[in-house]
Amino acid sequence: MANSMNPSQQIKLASAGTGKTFSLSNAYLDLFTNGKAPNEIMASTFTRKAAAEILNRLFERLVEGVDDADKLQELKDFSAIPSDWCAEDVKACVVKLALSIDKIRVSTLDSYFNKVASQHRRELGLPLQWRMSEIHQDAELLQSAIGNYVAKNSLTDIVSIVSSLGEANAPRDFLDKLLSETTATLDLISDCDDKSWDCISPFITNVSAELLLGKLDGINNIIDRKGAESKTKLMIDAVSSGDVKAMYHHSCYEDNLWYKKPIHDDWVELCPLVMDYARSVATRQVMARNKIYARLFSDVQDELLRLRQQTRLFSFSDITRLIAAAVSEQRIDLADKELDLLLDEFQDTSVLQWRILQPQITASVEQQRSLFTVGDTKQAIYGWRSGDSRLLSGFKDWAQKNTRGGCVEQSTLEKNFRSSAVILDTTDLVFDNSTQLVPNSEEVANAINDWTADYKKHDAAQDIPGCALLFEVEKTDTINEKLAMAKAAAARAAKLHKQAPSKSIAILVRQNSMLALIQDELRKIDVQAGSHGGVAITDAESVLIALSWLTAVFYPGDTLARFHVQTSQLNTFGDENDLSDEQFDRHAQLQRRTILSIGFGDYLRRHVDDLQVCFSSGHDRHRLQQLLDLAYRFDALPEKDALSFVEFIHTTKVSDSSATKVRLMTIHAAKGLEFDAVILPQLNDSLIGNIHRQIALGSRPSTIAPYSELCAYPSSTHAELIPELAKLESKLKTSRASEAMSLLYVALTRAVERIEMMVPPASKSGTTDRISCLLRNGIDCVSSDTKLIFTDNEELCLKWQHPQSDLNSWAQDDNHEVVAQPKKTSPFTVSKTPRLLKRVAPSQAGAGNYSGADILGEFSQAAMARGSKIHALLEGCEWIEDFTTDDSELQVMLSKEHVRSKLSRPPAGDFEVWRERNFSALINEGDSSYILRGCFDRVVIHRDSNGKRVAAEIIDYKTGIINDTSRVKYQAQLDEYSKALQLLLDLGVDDISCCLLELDT
Amino acid sequence: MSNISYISSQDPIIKGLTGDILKRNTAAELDSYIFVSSSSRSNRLLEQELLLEVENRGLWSTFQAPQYATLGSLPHQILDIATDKLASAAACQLAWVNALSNCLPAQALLHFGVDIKSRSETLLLAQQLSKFFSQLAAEQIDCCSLAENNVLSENEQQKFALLAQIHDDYVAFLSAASLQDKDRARQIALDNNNIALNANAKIVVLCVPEMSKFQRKLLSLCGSQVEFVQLQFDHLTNAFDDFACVDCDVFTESGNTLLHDASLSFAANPQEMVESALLSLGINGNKHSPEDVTFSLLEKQCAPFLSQALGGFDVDVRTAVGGDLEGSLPVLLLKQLKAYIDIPSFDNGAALLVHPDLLPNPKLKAELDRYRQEEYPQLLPEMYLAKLPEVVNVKTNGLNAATAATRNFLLEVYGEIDINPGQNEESHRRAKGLEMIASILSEVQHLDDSLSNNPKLGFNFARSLDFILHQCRGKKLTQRYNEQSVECLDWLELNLDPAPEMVILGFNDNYVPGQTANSMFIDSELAQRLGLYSDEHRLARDSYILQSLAAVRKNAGGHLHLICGRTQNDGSPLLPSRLLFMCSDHDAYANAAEFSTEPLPPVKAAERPASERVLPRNSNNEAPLKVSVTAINNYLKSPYSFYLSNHLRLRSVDVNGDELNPMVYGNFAHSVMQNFGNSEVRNSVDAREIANYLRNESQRLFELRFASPSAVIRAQVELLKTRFFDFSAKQAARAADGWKIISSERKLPPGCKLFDSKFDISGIIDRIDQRGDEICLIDYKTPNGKSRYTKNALFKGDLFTDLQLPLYFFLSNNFKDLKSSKVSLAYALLTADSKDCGFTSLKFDDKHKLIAEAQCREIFAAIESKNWFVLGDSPFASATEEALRGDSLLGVTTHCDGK
Repeated sequence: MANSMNPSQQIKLASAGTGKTFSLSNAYLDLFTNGKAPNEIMASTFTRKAAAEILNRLFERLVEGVDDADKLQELKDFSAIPSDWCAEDVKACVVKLALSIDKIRVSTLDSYFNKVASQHRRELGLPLQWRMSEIHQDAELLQSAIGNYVAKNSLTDIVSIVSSLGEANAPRDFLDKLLSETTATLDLISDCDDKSWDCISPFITNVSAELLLGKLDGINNIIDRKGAESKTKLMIDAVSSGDVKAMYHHSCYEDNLWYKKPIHDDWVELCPLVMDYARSVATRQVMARNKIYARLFSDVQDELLRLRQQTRLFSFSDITRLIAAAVSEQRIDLADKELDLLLDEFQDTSVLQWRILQPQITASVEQQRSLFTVGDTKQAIYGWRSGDSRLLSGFKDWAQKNTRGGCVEQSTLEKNFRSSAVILDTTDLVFDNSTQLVPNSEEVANAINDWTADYKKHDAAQDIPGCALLFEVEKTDTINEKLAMAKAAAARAAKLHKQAPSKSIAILVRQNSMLALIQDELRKIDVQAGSHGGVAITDAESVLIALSWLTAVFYPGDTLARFHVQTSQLNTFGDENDLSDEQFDRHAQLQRRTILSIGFGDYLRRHVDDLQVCFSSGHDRHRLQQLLDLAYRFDALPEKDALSFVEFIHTTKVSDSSATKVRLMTIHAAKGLEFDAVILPQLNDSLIGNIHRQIALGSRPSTIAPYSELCAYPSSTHAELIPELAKLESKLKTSRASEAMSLLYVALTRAVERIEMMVPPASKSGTTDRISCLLRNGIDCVSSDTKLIFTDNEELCLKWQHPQSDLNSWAQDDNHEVVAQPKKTSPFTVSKTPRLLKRVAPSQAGAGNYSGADILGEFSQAAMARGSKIHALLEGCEWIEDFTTDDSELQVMLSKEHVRSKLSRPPAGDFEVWRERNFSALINEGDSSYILRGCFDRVVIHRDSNGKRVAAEIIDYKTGIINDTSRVKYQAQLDEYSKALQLLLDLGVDDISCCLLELDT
Repeated sequence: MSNISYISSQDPIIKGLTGDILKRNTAAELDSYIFVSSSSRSNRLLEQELLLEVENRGLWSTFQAPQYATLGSLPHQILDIATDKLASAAACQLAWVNALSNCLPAQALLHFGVDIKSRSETLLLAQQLSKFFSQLAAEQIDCCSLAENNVLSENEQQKFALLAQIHDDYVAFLSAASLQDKDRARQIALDNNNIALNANAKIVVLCVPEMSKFQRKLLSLCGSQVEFVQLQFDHLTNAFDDFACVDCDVFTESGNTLLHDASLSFAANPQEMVESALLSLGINGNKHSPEDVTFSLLEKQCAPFLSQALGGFDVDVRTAVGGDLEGSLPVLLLKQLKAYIDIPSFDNGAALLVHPDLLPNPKLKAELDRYRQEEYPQLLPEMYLAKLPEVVNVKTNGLNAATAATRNFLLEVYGEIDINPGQNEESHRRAKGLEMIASILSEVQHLDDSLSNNPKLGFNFARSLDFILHQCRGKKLTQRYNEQSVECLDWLELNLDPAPEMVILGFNDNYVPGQTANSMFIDSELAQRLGLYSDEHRLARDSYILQSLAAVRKNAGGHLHLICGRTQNDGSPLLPSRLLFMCSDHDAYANAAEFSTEPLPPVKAAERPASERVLPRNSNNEAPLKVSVTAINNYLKSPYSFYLSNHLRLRSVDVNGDELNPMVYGNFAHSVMQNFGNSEVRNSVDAREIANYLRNESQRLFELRFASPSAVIRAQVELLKTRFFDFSAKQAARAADGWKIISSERKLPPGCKLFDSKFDISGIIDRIDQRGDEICLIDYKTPNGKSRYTKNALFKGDLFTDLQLPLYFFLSNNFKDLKSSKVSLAYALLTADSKDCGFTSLKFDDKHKLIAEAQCREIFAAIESKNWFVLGDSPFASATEEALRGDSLLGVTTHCDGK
């Protein structure tokens, strides 16, 4: 008996490896096998790869169920299919699902929003034929928007704005600064209210610069010590110039001591006053900057939107923003009452995405449709992309409060099916003990407490050997910490790969910049590593040479690029290497014409073999193929300029689908993936990270509300002085620390059986706000007597290993199955006759070379219309003696003697006349054949007394004035007519005459 | 009507058809035939086969060529329509634009979501309207009836009423120009039964799977003169309707496709799809003539991989179309012309000037590159402006006049150029592009005044060009004939293709069956409600085509290779075509099972180990005879950059900046300061007087140099004036302190040598001040911050990091008037931060002098011995220089000498 339909609303809080995709596929199959049509089930996830994986998993599980009784039972156990189904039922289900494959709605949210935007173009205010922009186009549009903003404002205003943006009042290159500031704040300003920038209150104080300078005049030295008088001068300078940082710096003393000596009473009295004054100056500065930001960003954003409308180019975030606004303002209704929802990775949902999904979620809950939400707040690593895990943690409460009859069940998935117990225990050690860490900052402490509040220890479902190690890696005089880590990670990966070639190994890092370093080290020791998540392809010399070549061709003044090509191994691109400047310029002009004519893709394809001859490494060949692919993608864009192309190649990141077992990627890119071994070489970053690059901070009053507070962030000193700003800064630090913990959690839990962590020696400074401190604290590693456990020269000190680590299990793999690449042989042999013969019209004959003037002249519509009319009229004329016409123009033509003579009936004989007769004929000339297709204007055929055709004359009418050059060309046409007629009348070439009847002459 | 004859799908279709035709007719009778198929390519195949048959049978003397048509062109071959009254595409679009000018913008925005105040939006909307009414005409639906259709919502009714009104206006505009819309003319002819078909004419409709209602009505009127020929599928009964079109119910019934004869592969991505296809073709060592293989690239991303892979086997690919008209050189030229007319900036002017078809002198391009890099002007200088065609100054009003001017412009550029379309691909595309533009210009130029002279449209030259360019959109260039190559066809062209081996790359849903293109006025849901062409029809059609492809291959002893992709290049997932599952349950399951199985990725070939790389250099390197002080200083930072920039004098072009680059900015500031140093106020102690001078001088030079600068550059210079203002106070204080400017921008005399250098040293000392017997050599700097210019700035450790001022110190001996025992060095800083502006005296004592001398001697020797191939911190790094230095290369060790 089939399971009854049981719509339910569930939130599954699923720790890493507990089977999110598995659960989601169960939920999907449950709905499908119980009669829901695929277009009534929408499953969303965050990456295209994950979407493909879910789809694949649906089929895979069903197919396994057909072939394997245990798997069939598993499907039933997890209520994925009705309990009474047999293999045949599942088989039928596979076919049914396959037949509705076009209706299956499993996609990323971006893809879903893209579809929504296409369907609701009008309501969203999108222009006709809009499309998604490329990254380099986004940057160009923003730059243009800022340029236009500058142009629209008065010079005085712009100077005033630019002067007040940074510490320097007259920067040289402010466009870049505005660009980076706008880019950094675009997300904040796109979701705020009108008053957001007014969040700082003025600070009123009686302290003025005059007052302070008065007090400083003749003030005692801060302490009685040589050189202390300069302190007074510095303070005077700071107050006079209103330098907030300096005032703050010179007023801060712990316990009123300076160089461990008590400071003078005058200073004890003065410092709070200076601090007050500094605060008032800082507050005024921030308020002024807020005012500028409010106007600047809002105007630039409007201008950007206008440009996007004009160019019809929109980014994913624009689309999301437009839809969110339209949903909020009820311009569009996306709530489908018949829809079951399956939402994956919900912890990464952003507020804007939530606003779009919320009506649908409400509808599904209220209509008692299925709502299956999976996520893990511990894996919320997309805060930088506005992901907010509080949407997941508060989901249940929200549903109860905001939906009619909404009763969402929340449960957790606890069994980990991915990792060995050793890996999981190591993870538990780190996070479970983290509250015992005494961090330097309050924000880190708060983040740790919040993050670990609901932390539950993992439960390994599989009994597999595991190993967790922590190494200390020391920098040297010549090798800095980053490079030392990169070398160590590469060495370990190489070793593990050698020991167990079939096992997957991932080196996971926090930042893209580290990828290049490690990739370099891996290659030095001859380990091929695939990357994932996108890299620029400009790490190959072949690509760089190709780019220089294109630059030199488009910009001959770029002699540097030309030199690059000329001094490269590439000498088969042309013989231009020894060309003079003038020859090169001419050559470049020809190449430019070719590129503009056929596009970058086709052009590079013609030359890719030359490049591959010079750059034959697998890496270069691979990159060249990717260059080609990008070139064709670029050709679809409106830009045609080489520097745009170069920029496009530099900025576009491509995924590398290499099948190597060693993978190198960021932790973000590793989300959703698993590897037999994971190496983590970047564990010494600060938990809070560098927030000094932040130029503005924001805060929402509630999780889903727009930013109600936005504030410029000139420096951390300003935050020290302004309480409102300090609060915002603190919030940011807490969320940064929390995200850093999530990132570490994701990194650790990607490992199936082995994890290798690399940290520098413990810091003596007492800093505890680092990831490495969190690790050391958790695993309680030994602090002395390091021992070398590897026999080669890796110079790695093992500081800790999990007590249950099985160091030997890794090397036991010897079933290395290599799938050889099939040998490529040509499936082609020598060609036969072409399948489709060339088809020509007589008018094309003799047309070898013609001038632009010929082409532009031929299309005189009036002349063509006149010609057609005359031809049509003459079709009625068999013999001129029997023909009359009302057309005065034709009458004039027919009155001419040379015309009359050609159209007159011959005095004697049997003649047949063809008029405007279509023909097609197969002309064989030597080894080649072609189809000749056209229309005879007039053919006069002479028959003998037996009625046999013995001769013929082809008459071709020509209107307009014919010159000698044209006559030569028309003769070639007549020759073609003659060939066709010879065939059709079975006459020899001498039996046919041809005549050009010039009607206007 | 049901005059249908079936041919067995077991026979070779085209050959079978032609044989059958000739069996039933004499060759002479063929001129009464009109053969109708789905595509003109099918017609070509049919014609070719027919002629070969005529040749084989020796029937030339009686052969009379039949006519060929597609369903689209048939109405004009058999309906009596006055073709000279038919409106051209340009006329239609202009009539739509005129009609839209009568429409209220608010209404258009409400119902179409289009801002018709925007010219480009209106042109696009006109295009959509044209498409929509063609669709209605094909489906025999009157827009007014939709406006009154109670099934539709009030809003929808209003929308269709508005559309009907716009259509009425459109017709009226065409009528006023004595023109008729193509669809309307057809409809009127059909309604009046104006069939111009000889009584003995026969229309043979070949294997056409679908027809519109209009086409059905038309063929109905031809009655028994129409004959349908269709393929017969043994396993399907009652598969076709009275017009021999596919029966939707039959062809969308699962289980109806026969795929067991096709080979099916799943591949990870486009590249592997191509590899998989070639493997499938060559399975069991099979070899094929390229002419026996047809590819269809439903997944367009396969194209470069296929071209490259086949190129490796010396086989070319010929595609169905030769590219977009919009991408052809003549259209690019017009686009550039339009850009320059819209914004006559340096960039637009230069881009127009250097269009490869226009550029009179190839050297000009390099000249412009250099000019731009060094001067960054905003307008094309006069000397270059003169080289632009006259047309850029055309101030015409009216579309006709502008079109004539455009034609003249093209004549000026292309008139004398010899073009041979047969020469190569580029020439072919250029010729075809020009032909098509010529045709468009001809159409536009002859538009009736009533269409083009509507004052609301306001056609000036720029708008006219815009309209002309819009006519180029979406048009395709014809393909250059290229025999001996593998042919790539579109899905609809495959139907009658006889190639025994056929490969479909991208047999995925959304490609086949694809989605039906609904207009922006009727979405798919409404289309279904109105009974219009729907996804079901598309599925049925494609199911039919797949059947025929499989059957023909089977009969020809060949194979149908279906390659399904799993993802696109960027990882976007692809779904298999649902046609794969419309077979027997057994086969459908097998296909689904295969889809669910991820193949093991092949192990890639091992990489070549990391290579060693020598810094690129010229083979011929002579030691320099003259080196500037700046260059020597650059050598100190990076010998290799010195080699590139100062010795070889190589330059990189930066066209991306919208601001003055640091070099031009610095030069501009130097010019102002140089003039100050030579002015009467140079030794003034009045800060205000100095500030006024600098402000006025910078404004004067700015106006002199930049004719029409961008707002950003204006702001940059305005901010520079702030720096001058801040500097003035410091300058006045210095003057008050007794320092007098005695020299400004003083050049070293020719032939200066130092420390036995073999080369001459050149240079300019920015400024020399004097106070009593003290001399101060000053260098102007315009950095953002002062950190690099502190009093100890020249030093790091025990070595100089900057030798510019020390070199001037040593070289100042060459000036007789500067003999002094007290020579000091200083920077005059024009910094971004006002508090940092001013003078920095540099620490430079006897110890330093000795170190500097030793370092200079060392550098001179290195330069003389051509020791240039050492990397350092490049002061000029550009992306190309980084590439030359190997900065971004992974796994490559860059050596100075290759050892």
